[in-house]
Parts: sequence; structure tokens; C-alpha cells
Amino acid sequence: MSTLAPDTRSIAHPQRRVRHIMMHVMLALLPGTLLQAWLIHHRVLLILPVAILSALAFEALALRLRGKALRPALSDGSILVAAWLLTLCLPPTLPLWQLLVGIFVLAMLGKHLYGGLGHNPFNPAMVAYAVLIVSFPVTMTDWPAAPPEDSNRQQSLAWDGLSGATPLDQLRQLRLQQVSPGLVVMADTASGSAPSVDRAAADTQNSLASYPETAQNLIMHSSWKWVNLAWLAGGFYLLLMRIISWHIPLAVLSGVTLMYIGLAASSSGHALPPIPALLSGAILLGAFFIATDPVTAAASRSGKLVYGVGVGILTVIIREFSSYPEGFAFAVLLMNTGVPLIDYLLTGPAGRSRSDAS
Amino acid sequence: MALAKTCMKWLSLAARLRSGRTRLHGGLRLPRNKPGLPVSGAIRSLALPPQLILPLLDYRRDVLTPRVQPGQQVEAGQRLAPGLIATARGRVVAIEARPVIHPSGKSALCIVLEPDADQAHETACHEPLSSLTAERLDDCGVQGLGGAAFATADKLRSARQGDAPLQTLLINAVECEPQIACDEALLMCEAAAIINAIESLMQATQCRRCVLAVENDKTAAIDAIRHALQEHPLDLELVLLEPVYPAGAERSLIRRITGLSLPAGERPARHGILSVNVATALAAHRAQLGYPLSSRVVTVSGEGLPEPVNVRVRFGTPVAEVLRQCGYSAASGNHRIRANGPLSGFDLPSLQAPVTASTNCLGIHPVESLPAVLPCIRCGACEEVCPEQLLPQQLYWYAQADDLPGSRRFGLDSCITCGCCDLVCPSSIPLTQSFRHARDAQREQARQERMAELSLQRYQAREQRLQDRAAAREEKRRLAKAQLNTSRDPIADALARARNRRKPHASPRNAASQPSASAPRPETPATDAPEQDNPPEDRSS
Repeated sequence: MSTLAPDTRSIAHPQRRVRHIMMHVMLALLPGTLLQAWLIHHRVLLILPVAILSALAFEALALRLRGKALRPALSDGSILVAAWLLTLCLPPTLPLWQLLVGIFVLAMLGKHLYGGLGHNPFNPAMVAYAVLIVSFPVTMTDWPAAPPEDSNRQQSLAWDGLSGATPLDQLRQLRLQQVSPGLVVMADTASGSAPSVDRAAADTQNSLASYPETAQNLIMHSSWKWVNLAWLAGGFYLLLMRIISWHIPLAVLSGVTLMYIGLAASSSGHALPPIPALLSGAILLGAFFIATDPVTAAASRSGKLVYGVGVGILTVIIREFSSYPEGFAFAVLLMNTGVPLIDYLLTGPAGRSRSDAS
Repeated sequence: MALAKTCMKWLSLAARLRSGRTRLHGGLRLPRNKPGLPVSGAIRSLALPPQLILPLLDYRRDVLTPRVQPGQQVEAGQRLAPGLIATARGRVVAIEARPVIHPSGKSALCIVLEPDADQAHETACHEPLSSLTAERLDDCGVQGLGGAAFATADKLRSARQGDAPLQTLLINAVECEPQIACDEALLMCEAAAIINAIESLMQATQCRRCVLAVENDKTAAIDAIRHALQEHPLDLELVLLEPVYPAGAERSLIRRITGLSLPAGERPARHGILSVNVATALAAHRAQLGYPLSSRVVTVSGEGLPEPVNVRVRFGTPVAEVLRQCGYSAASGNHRIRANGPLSGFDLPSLQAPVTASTNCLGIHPVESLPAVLPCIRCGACEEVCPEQLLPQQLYWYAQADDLPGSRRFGLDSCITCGCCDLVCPSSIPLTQSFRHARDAQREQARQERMAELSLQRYQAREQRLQDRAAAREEKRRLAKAQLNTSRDPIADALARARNRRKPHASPRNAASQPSASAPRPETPATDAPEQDNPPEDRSS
């Protein structure tokens, strides 16, 4: 040991280790995960352990292949968090072998190909998600239909057997139908997906002007709302524990809100009102848990703001103008590619004062 | 592009607004743990060791040239080298390389002094002055006792010559680092003398505002100062600060007291601010009274000591001797000795190194293993605590890659190596150590560039000199030739010269028959001589 290092041992300052950070993140994920298992599909409780165990196995394999010590990397908890986040983005009914493919991509290609924890330029969970949704589009969009909020438990048991789409996916179908009804039929038959448009939506789909109301009804009366509120609560826990800073979540949420306000002002009335927009899809989970992954996000405060706003804007663009129901994963991956540039341009006060002086 | 530029402009504007605030950014509330504060009375002075070792180094770590010889008897306060005075009366026994307090355990040329007995108390060796002068500070060898050991006389001179008249005299008693209590002990025991010292500094500098900054949890010290101020009223602002580490760092302290953000590397004197450690102020006052600066208060704490103490140690006392007199025995366990505090200090490789003006603390700690270093996850914890608002994790990448321009872009020059980032890093990355290495590398590179510039100048000067000489020679030859050419008849001239030469001696017979030989003659000595002259010239340059 060199003697130049400050002596952190002789000062009784509580030092938070990497595994403590990861434990806090998992703790914040727990309520939302349980709600998702209860309200959406109980299979979440099956695929989550499978994902975590297989992630540990792949991580161990990767470490072995790279000739690294197993213990520090396996005990830091980072692979657990990544696998957990990926699982939450997957439909619970996904076949297990596809889940294993996803975990393989996450651990091997997303993380260790670049040199392991701290060296990966892309969020590993989102890399795995992108690979899965491109490779298995049918099963990846085949979500169990969430029971409406007001239905009692018996009804919801009946709902369990059905498969369907998330409110966001329903909205996309609805939008396409309004633009050209024939196209949706073709899309439906082509993808072979289950009856796409909810009955409640079908009742009110007659006019273009009613789209925002339909959307509001779909989202605000879906069980997903509670799951998303649980992510919000978990996010506040992370903020309180100072695991994440407020910059990225706030920037993502404001980016999304601004885009929807802009869409509402400019276009054909296809825009969601802000509150349902923020409660839809993976926005809250992503804003607090995925975009805040420190390894792949920008470093300085101003950089974090730019990064977050970029993620929010890209999410809405992909979601509204592409054929994918949700754009958060691609938005994060796209902004990840921009992080080195953001870090180079926005270096924080020190870099700015230097460039001012010179 | 225009949009990006606008964004940058807004961001820099926001940064400027933020930098104007006076709160300390970041920092940590660490357990204070101020050991060995005196319950009552005076600070104990340690006995003189058998040998005092005085390193021939100044605060820039430049080597000093000794003015004394081995075997010579010297008086206390006598100048041994520029900037170095004898801290006791005695005999110089050797001038040789000895280990000094340095993380590398390196040796440096030291004057080894055997002090005479009967010198328990320091004695005045100059007449008291009515007002403090820089010359007196020089004569008494007064150095900053806050850590950097900057020559106080230079500080006073630069404050007087500053661009702006001296606005603020800042007496720094913010001893923010845990486990160091020497300034606090001084405040508690010598409050009255400190008030006198501040008064004399105020008179010497003619400052408009004088601030004494202390943390607000040093209640005993604050009470002592308030009591002394009641007995000796003085136009002194007592500023109480939150006990946050590193509140005592000069630049952040100036920012909080005056609201002025100094750029990295800029002396406060240029902005009309003189910032002095409280112990230095006291030393300056004692210099005015005629006492040379030959000792300081050192906190000795840690395991293996019966109790932690603050003691007055004569400069040059070996660390081992200090520890022995404080009751430490090396047999009590496997310990490492850390100088200058847990955060800004370093472990001492050799206990024979002597205490100097910058040694404020000696800590005895058990030898423990370090936590494993994990990869950086860019969590930003270091950024939150950085008092200079840097991005330590980014700076770390550039420092690790030996990328000096990149490191400077991320604020290597502003880093005060306080160690806050190390304390919070969840991966236990030795950030500060890499910054210190990078800074050393930068200094080394700057030194080499300076040397290269100097040798280039020397080379160019020599080339110029040689050219000038050649040109002068050419000129002389041209003149000689011109003279030859102007004479109407070279043969007649040569004949005349030969005739002149023949006059005292017997003349060669056929001098007149060889007129052509005389023409090249001025040329030959002119070209030969400088070539023989050159080598001695080179040596002198």
C-alpha cells in the first residue's frame, strides 16, 4: 500500500459499499415487484428467482472465463439488480428458455464483453431487453391482460387465463385503427396476437377527439397504475437514501411531459394528458431505476439533466411514432451512446471555469 | 449548434451564480475526535533530544546551501542557511543525508546539531521591535504552521505589494481535520497572547477587516478567546463556522468569509487578502518580541500511548524521540505512524525523520488490511462531497491514464486532495492518492519543462555569443583588409614593415624579395586564436 492515500480506516465514518447500494435498490424494487405479481400475474414470482439464479450462474461463468476472482463480483449485487430490472420489463408469461437467452445476453454481452461492472457503455438490462424484443416479438408483447381495477378477485382470477396487451399496447392498436382500420386487422392477423382492443376501448373509439379520454380511462383504471405508483414510491426511497440524485428522474419525467404537451398542441389529438402519460408503460420504473444506472449515465449534474431529458424525449418519439409499444429501452440505449460526448462537453463547474479562464 | 451554445451559456451562467454563494460545497461531517486537549494550564514542552536534525529544504522542497561547517558552534536563532535557523545553541556535528518527513521515506541533506544542555526554554535573540517587519520574520525563520510551511515574510511582502490594498486579514483557526488539535490547544492555553499577536499583525498590515475563523464546536477555545477579547478589546470579527471537513482549506475559507472565489493557484494576496494560521500569527508576534521560531505544538495521539497529548516540540527532534517522550513504546504492538493527520497526511516510513514546521500531528494507528478495491460504478458520491465541485471519478480516469491535459480539464489544479472522496467511495478506490500522483507528475513535468527551457536559453545564448564573436572577428579582418587595400602600395608597406623589424635585430637577407607572404599574415592568427579560446569559454557559460 502506498502511504499517499488518505487513511479511511482510522476515521469512524460510515462507508457505504457497492453491495449496500445494490441492496437499497433491490429493497426499493420489492413493493412494486410484489404488486406486479399480485395484480398482473403471479408468474413474476417464478421468473424472478429463475432470472436471478441464472444471472449469478452466467456471471460466475463469465468471471471464470475472464480469469477473475468470483467472490467480489458475485457479492456486489450488481448482476442481481440488472437481472431483476430485466425481469420486470418482461411479460411474466415469457417462456423460460427465452428468459435464459435474455439473461445470457445481459451477463455476457451486456456486461462482461465490455469488461464487467463499471466498464459497460450500455445498460445491460436494456441490451438484453432490446435483443429479446427484436428476437421474440410475439411473446415479448404478449402480456397477461390486467384486470380492471374495480373488478373483484373472482373476476380477476378469470382474467388470469386470458392474455392481452398492456394499456400502452392497446392504445397503439387503437391509434392505428383510427388512422386506418384495415391496417390493424392486417397487423393483428400477421402477428397472431390475441384480440387487441379492449372492450371498454372499443366502446369509445368512435371519434378521434375521444382518444385522450379513452387513454385516460385505460390507464387510470388499469391495475398497472398501482404498480407504477409503487415504482414511484421506490424511487422516492432511493432519493431519500441518497442512492440516486434527483437530476435524472426529474429530467426524464419532464422530457416525457414536455413531449406530450408538445404533441397535444401540435398534432391530431393523439397525445396522452401528462398524468396518464407518466403513469403509463415503463416511464416511472425507467426514470427512477433504469436511466439512473450510474455506470451508463452521464456524470456531471448538467450532463445528467441533458441525458435524462434526452431519454424522455426519445422514449415518447419511439413510443408514438414506431411500431414498438414502449420506447424506454431504446431511448436509454441511444442516450448511452451519447454519454461519452455529454461527459466530454459538460464537465461540471471545474471544467467550465477552466474553459472560461482560457 | 446554436442551441447547444445557448445551453452552454445558460449552464455557465448558472455555475457563476452558484459559485458566488458562501456556503461550503460538499465536505463531510466527520467524528471530531480532538485528542489530548489540555484540561488546564500550559502546553508541555518536550526535552531537547541528543541531536537535532534540520533538513536543508525549503517549503518548495528546493535544496538550501548551508552557511556553516561541521564542527562549528552555533547560537540559537543563528542562520544556518537561507530560510533555516538553528533551533538551539550547540555544535554542528555533521551535514549529511538523513531521512526526512516525506511519504517516500527519502533522505535529504540535513544539518545535525548537538544542542548544549541547559536550554529548556527558548530565549530571545533579537531586540523587541515596536512594529512587525518582514525582515524580522525572515531573521526569525517564521514559516506557516498550518501545513504548507510557506515563508511568512514572503506572504507579508506580497500582501503589501498586492494589486489591491489589504482588505482582509484572515486568521485561520479552523482545524477541520479529525485527530488534530494543536491549534485548538493553543487557543485554549494562549488566548491572550494570540489576541496580542493579532493586534500586532493588524498594525503591521494596516488591514481594514480582521477575521478570526473558528469552528463553532470548539467551545472551550471560543470561551478563552472571548474572555481575552473582554480584557483586551480589539476590532476583531470572530466568525464561527459549522464543523465540516475541509472548512479550513484556504480557498474555501476565503470564499466563505469574503465571498470571493479565487482561481486555482492564485495567491490570496493579489486580491487584498492575507490568510494566516493562528499559530503562525503567534509565531510572528514572538518574532517581533525577538524570539526565533524554533518549536511548534504537535498533537500526538493514537493507540499505544497512555493518553493523547498536545506538546511543544523543538524543530529537528526525531519523531521516535517525540513518541518516546510521550510514552509510546514500540514493543506495545504492530503500529504505523502517520504524520499530518489521517486525511491529508501519510504514513512515515522512517521514525528517524525530524519534526518540522509542517508537522502538526503524529498518529499511532494499528496496522490493518485495506478493503478490497472494486470497479468504479460512477455513483457520484465523490462528486457530492467534493468541496471544489469537481468530478473525482472522471478526474480519476484521466489521472490513471497519465493524461495531464485531461486531468487539468477536470480540475486537477483545483483539487485540494482533502480525501473526502476516498471516505465516501463505495468501491474504496484510492482516488486522492491517484490525484497526488498526478499532481507530482505534473510538477515533475513542469520542472523538466523549466529545465529544458533554461538549457535552451543557455544554448541559444552560447550560439549567440559564438556568432557575435565570429562576427567581430570577421569585422576585424574586414577592417584589416580594408586598411591593406587602402594603402597604395602593399610592397612598399611590406618593405617598410620589414625595415622596421630589422632595426633592433639583424635582418634576414631577402625580406624584400617575399612581399606576397606578408599579405595573408593578419588572417592566420585571427582564425586560429578563437578556436583555442573556445573551450574555456564554454565551461564558464
